Amino acid sequence: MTKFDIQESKRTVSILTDWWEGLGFGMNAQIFKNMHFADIGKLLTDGKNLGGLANRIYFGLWNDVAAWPTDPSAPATIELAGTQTGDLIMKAGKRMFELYTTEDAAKLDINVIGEEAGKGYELLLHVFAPGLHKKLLGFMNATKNEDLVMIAQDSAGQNYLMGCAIRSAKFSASDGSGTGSTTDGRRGLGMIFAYRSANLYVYSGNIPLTEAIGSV
Amino acid sequence: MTWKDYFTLIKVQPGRIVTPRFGTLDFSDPNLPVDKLQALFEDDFPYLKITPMGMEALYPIPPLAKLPSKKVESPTPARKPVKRKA
Repeated sequence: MTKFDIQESKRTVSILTDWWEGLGFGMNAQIFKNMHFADIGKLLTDGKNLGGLANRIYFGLWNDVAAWPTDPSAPATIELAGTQTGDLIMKAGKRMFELYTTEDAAKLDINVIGEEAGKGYELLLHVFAPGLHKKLLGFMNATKNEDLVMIAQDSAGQNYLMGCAIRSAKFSASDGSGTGSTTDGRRGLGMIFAYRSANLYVYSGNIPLTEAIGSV
Repeated sequence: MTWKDYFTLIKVQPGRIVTPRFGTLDFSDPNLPVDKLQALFEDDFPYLKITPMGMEALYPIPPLAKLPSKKVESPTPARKPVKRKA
């Protein structure tokens, strides 16, 4: 009788795993092959579909994040293919923060970037913080060259996370910052934050605006 | 009785957390409604742990129905006939 050698068997499995992982960068089409596509109708809950973002966006330092939500892996449905699971967990003593933005002055642009077979997305978060308070100037000074994580909430209450384990959101440009030229002009800081991502997701986790404690 | 009798806040200091279901909740407020926190707990909210009192109050285990004891009589096995030596 042939004896089953578990070590030899494990070795074979590892070789196959390495091969698939190595090929993984070009496997998107294969991964989505398992998905059950479905008809897509008018997907409005109770007819609600207001544009724009909520009055507050959330930000933190990319380096302060202890754990990131998980991207879908070989999702079975197209809905799952657009949803992250789990929470953004901060390191001990760290937290996310809130930034007020003027009504109808914030937006999230979703742009497609890259060439054929290398397409991805760039999220551009436009924010306008009214006034030229020292706190706001300090915020701009402190974030202009930092790696950030940002969360924007749209008028439907859906959250979009900008930042992942390997890439951060960055201060990209000023957008209408200053005093304005007339007395009815807009005085404040307009900022654009950018984040590039392979896919688009809704962030379904929580946002801790209080300091994390202990080890995660 | 407050929600703190039923749940313990874990991993964060008492303060505000933005939840997708109920918006911003301030966990330093002792008057948060227990039913909201129970819904969060059931949604795998990572910052709440249920207390023994909460377990007892919100997820009571129904007492086991007492079955009437019944004496089961098993038939006595038949004795093997002993062969006697002639």
